[in-house]
Amino acid sequence: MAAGTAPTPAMIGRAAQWAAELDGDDVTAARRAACESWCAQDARHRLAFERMRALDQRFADMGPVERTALSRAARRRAKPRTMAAGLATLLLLIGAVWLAGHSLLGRQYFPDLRTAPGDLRELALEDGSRLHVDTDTALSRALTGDERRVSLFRGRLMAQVARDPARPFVVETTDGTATALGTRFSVARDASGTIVTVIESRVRACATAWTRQACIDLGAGDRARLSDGVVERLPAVDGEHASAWSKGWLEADDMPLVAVLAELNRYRARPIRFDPAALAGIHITGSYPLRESDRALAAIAATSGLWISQSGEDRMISRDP
Amino acid sequence: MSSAVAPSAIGQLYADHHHWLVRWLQARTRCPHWALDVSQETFCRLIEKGLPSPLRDARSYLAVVARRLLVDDIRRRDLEQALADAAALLGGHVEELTPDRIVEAVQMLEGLMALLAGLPADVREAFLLRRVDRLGHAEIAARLGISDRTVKRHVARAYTLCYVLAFGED
Repeated sequence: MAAGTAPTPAMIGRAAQWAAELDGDDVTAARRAACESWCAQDARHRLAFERMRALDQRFADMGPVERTALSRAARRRAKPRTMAAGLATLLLLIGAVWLAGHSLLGRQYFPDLRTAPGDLRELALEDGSRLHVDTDTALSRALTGDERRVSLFRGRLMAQVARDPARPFVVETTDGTATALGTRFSVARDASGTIVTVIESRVRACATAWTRQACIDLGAGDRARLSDGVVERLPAVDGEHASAWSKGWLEADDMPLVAVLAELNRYRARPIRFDPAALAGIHITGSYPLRESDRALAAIAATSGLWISQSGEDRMISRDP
Repeated sequence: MSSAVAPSAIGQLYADHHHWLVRWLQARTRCPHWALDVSQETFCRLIEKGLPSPLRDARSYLAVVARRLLVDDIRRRDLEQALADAAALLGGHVEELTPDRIVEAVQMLEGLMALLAGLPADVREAFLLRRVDRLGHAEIAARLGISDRTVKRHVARAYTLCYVLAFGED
């Protein structure tokens, strides 16, 4: 993590004390306020504290069967009865610690970076690579001596990879990995799986599932979907076009209006309201600013002869006033 | 460093050491099918991740990878068993365990177990009572015969260790 953005060990320790104190039985409003003012002092304080609360949430979200299973499994390993069991436990612990350090499963509870709707960020990594991080995205990153790895939990990113043949640059999701053999590509997670789009040079995309694994090499403009251990090639796109979002633009080329509005809504805290059936059949072409979706909406309405009604932050677009 | 490997390198490795690896695994699993499965998985993993270069001692490298896969396997079977036991224990009060749900639950439990495994025993027990069994701090103190302050200290230590496990201290 870049110097200055990561909580220091002292901050981690203090955040843990706060989290434990606020976890107690009778917490006074004054102590909550004191914790909030500690968090407000420094973004790193808040980050460390929120990561700890996110861990609570993981446990709170479990169903009764999972909860009971965890309670039993965790305790079974804590009390080995025989030498053999002790050895098995040791192996399990070593394996488990290895897993925590390396697996997405262990890390997804604590993303390093989370963007809010409407937030588009560019991030410089220590190795000189740049990440363009899209709206509503969560990721973690780790740079080690022999690998550069970004874990994408949700949303979309585009990587502009600094050349370093000795350290592969890997973007991983729970569906698989995209390994940069060259320079520029984007990775997006949605309900259908993970979409890898190559803008420049070559990328190896691998889908992994419990029992299956498949890889494919992609060139500029190629796209593939990874899901369930299967790689599916998608129709090729124009790379520059596909990466316009990273510069803050939505490039529509005879695109259905309904799809354009759905895309703009990903960047808004309050979605634009519209009736998809009434707007079906309208296609538009143009470049629209993602960060200023109100302006984009006004431009769309003006060119396609539609009406916008607004009250406060709410916007609605329709054929008739 | 690892990199993409020519299939022929893996092919040679397979030809030279496959039988040895199966025997090695059989001695540990005492089950020929399981040994074959894990050996197969080991070579798949090498195709996927590449070989270190130079590869000095092929057999000890194969054994390291195979042992890790075997541990993953044991852990997964264990968690599946724990889920089945839990479902039986809770009887008709819960919806049935479908294969999809088992896979999903095992994945989630693996992640949480990994975090818990890094904790010292007393800290882990306090943390389990709090987060998994949902007891209050005073109840945990009474149950373990320790003070409220110690419960708080254990919980804080659990947060710190989980955090460091997931992120390191950088």
